[in-house]
Amino acid sequence: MVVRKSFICLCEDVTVEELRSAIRRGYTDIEDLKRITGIGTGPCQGKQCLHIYREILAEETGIRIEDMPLTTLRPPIVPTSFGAWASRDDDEEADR
Amino acid sequence: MRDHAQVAIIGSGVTGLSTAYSLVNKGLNDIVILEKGHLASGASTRNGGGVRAQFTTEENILLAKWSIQRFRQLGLELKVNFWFRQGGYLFVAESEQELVSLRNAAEFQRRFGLGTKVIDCDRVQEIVPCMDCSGIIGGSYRRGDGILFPFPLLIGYADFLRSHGTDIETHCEVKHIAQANGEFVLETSRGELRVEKLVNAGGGWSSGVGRMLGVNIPTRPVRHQIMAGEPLAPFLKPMVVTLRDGFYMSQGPRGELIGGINESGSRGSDPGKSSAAFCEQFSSRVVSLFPMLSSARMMRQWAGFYDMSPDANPVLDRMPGVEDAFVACGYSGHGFMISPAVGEFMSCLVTGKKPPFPTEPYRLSRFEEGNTKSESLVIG
Repeated sequence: MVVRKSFICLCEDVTVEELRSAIRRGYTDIEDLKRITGIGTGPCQGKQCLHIYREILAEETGIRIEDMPLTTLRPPIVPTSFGAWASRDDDEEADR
Repeated sequence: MRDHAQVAIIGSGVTGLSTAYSLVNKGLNDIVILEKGHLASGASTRNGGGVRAQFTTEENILLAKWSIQRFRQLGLELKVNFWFRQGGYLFVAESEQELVSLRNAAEFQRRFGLGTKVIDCDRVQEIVPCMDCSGIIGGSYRRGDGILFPFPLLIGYADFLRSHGTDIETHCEVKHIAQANGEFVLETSRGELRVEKLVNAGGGWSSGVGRMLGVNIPTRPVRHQIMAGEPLAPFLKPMVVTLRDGFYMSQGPRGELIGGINESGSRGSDPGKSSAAFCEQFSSRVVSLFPMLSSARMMRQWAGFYDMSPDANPVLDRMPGVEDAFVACGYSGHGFMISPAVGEFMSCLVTGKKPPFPTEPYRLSRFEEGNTKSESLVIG
């Protein structure tokens, strides 16, 4: 059951009510609402929340869930340490 | 969508929004903003939020200095908090030659009343205690520079404008522009709009809008990449920039690191495509400058673009040969930080007032005349 104070995005502490309030201000685009509320921009990068977000947005706007797009997914797939990125070149050198 | 307005602004990026905001403040509120994607979907929602007046041309310094003063007020006016924090910009030099160029830039900036200081390595280390300064010989520092969080400012503008009569039509692409009976007839993907005046604020697409009016605008979008790190406890006060490779990094309002670097190799032209090579190049620099960040994680990475003009200075002008049409573009990576001044400038042109800046240096025709002085502090 979705209640007003349910969290959609646990990383950024965004509630259902916050999303609804942004929709009431006239924003209905999934990309705009991501930027207004911060949904999906924390360390999980939307893996926990994207589909809940899409469902609630579909419900609120009357758009069919099948027609509700995903937000743009950005690399890396999981947060990756600077050290790991930085060492990639060295590993490749060693393999040769 | 309505079919008539006094002014149409093409592009809902920060330039279009800021121009509309200044127009409304001058009493003109019959405005439609046309946006082909979602709100501010070009460079305005992809930029790093840096705000600085440390430039090397009068054109950029004047607009940036004015804008920094405005950023201090704008949150109150729009009733939003966009986290403008004046933690300074620190440019670091790793060679004698770089230090000389920073010294010359600081001297030039002082003519405009900026208090840019040239500092030695010890002072750099004091300002950024966690940075490995072994390769750094000095830098330039201006405390009044800083960072902001772009989204709340964009949304603040949009909310204000919508409640003051401006229509912002998103997912509405302008396909064709004709002129008839002293009006512009804009054919869009959502119907026809007739307007008296037209502002081209198309960012990376502004030269395309120019073509629809038969005007050649020699700016072009160049891809730049950027990344956000996971949120960390505050440790980095200024925006740090290295001259050698255009590395920059700041710590945003949520504690997240934001940064980029001058990409080596091919840049591609699709602003939507990011690359792993960027992540490796950027991270190598992070780890060498900030060894303590080795285990901190990159969370998110994306690409955007700078609308580059031939001299890396903005174009703010009437469209030559087309009465009542105006263009603001070519910011070359600095559009967000000078947007309050650009909005004021453009709203003056549209309403026939004199902008609070010299207009001569920003003209489009300067490129044909060959009379330009290039901005050299283009970072990232």
